[in-house]
Amino acid sequence: MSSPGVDGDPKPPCLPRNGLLKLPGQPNGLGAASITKGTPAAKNRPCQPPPPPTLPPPSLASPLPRAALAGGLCPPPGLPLGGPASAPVPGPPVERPPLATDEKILNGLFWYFSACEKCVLAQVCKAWRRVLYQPKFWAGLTPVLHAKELYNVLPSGEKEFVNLQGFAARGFEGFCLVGVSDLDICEFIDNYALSKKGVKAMSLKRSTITDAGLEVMLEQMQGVVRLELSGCNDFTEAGLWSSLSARITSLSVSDCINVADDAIAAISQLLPNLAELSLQAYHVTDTALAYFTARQGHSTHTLRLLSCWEITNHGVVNVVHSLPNLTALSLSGCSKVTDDGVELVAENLRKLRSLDLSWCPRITDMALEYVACDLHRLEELVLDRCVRITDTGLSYLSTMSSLRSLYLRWCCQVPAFPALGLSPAVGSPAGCPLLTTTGLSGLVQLQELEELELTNCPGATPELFKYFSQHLPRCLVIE
Amino acid sequence: MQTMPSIKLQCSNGEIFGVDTMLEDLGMDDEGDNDPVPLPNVKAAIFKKVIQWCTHHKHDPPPPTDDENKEKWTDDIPVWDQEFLKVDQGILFELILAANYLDIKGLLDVTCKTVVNMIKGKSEEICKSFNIKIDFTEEEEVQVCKENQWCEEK
Repeated sequence: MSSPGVDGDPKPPCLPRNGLLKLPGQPNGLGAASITKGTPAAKNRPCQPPPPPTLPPPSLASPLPRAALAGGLCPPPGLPLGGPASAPVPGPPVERPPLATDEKILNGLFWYFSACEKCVLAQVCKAWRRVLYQPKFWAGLTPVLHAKELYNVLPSGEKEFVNLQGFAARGFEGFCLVGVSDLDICEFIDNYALSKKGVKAMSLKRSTITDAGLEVMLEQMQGVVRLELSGCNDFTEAGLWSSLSARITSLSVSDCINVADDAIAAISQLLPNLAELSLQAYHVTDTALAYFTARQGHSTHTLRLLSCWEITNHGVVNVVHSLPNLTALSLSGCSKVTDDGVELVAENLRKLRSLDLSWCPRITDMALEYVACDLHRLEELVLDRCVRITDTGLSYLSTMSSLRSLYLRWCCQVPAFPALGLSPAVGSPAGCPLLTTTGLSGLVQLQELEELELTNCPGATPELFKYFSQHLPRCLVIE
Repeated sequence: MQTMPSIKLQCSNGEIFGVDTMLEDLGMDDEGDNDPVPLPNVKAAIFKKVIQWCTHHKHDPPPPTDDENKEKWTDDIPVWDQEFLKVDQGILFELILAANYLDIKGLLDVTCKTVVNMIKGKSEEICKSFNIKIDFTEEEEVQVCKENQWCEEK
């Protein structure tokens, strides 16, 4: 029989010993027997002998009362809750550790929470924080830190930089700093343990970073390969020339007043490994789009030109020639681009999987014919606020069997002369939607469609949604 | 679905159950071994509930092998399971442990989701409803609060 438990507690009826079990004689007549199999859930799994009674199993977080030690059995494999289950053992009532701090359970449970929820949960108690502060729970998340949050004001009135250990523990790969100065960024680099090598992405918003600051930041933070600058008006194109590093693979610049063609020149010369470029710049012209080099022609797969009001179809010519390998292109808000520009895209960028023509008021059904004809790999198409598209355009789209996501938001034109007595409300029969219910219903031919956004589309009636849910059951349709 | 031979399982208090519903991975083969398989980690009361759940779900298709280290949804608990899991918190946690130990993925999933749905509100409220002692010092509490503000704004 099993050895006596510590303190002479009544022994549990069955105690595994190297896979052999002996059952005590049972009143129901089963008699003693030996079982040579392992314990349950033990198929093809190695069986561990139980730990000696004086030591708690090392994987359990909270120390167990001694009587509970006998159950260290084969660990269930490959589950979110790894490790041997804690073992409540019968006998005199023992004080069990609160199950809500059982780390095995917590390791499984925390996957069900969003980032914001996890931030709340980390404040519950030390055990929860300890489990939560593992990098696996924060992968892909970027903390946004405002300048004022970076300092504690001491009783003496002085400012001290906050302790960022809690961020280092979670292994964030990227940070977004808002409203920071050159000095703040230097303090961040000095005070964050992982700043020199561990940070891969930096985003600066509405900050006063200067050319010198940019240079220091990229020089010191050697791990940064993704950079975003938004609303930063104190650096110039000269700053880009002096600070951009060849290791950068992703760059996004938006709403920075000093960015124009020379910025693209710097980008094209200094970033041979650029995979993704996002540019929102009112003053960039067509010529700059010819600056991209052969290296970028090879490596750049995503180009977003957002509200680049000066870009015309000539600019598009330059793009399709210098960046032939694009798989994602956005011309959102490039209001001078017309159907001819889209024709060039369709003919030349055959690898495109995503195309965004939103807020291009000159795009008509013709553009959609070109797209449907030539872009056979297109999976995502954004046509928000393309107010000239009609049912004809929809019929072209309905032939694109590769489409998975389609955005047709706010495509309705408000009619100039509403019928007498009726206000031009959305859905009003007095409005003349160019995308009618019938036209939209043709989209059911897109069997691969997973997402369809029809916000503010008067033709999107409840009947239409019902029709979609019947014929495109896998598609998420949003109104 | 093939009928499993009747197998005997013995819980932590010695009680023996004969089970012919399909419980995967009990390490049984057909050697005709009639001796009960011991489950020293599972109390009889809990095991009864487990059997009840398994019996109701015995015709379920096998759960998909999804990536376990990925964010998950909690709003898809079937109504029967919701009613079934309206139990004491202690029992709910015991069910999680049992489902984990017995490797019953479906039960583990719904019990976890049920607990997750109970974890709502501010951290103080969570402490109260789960009887967790707040063990931060005042300083630590301020620190952990500060370093978790960033999620509130996008």
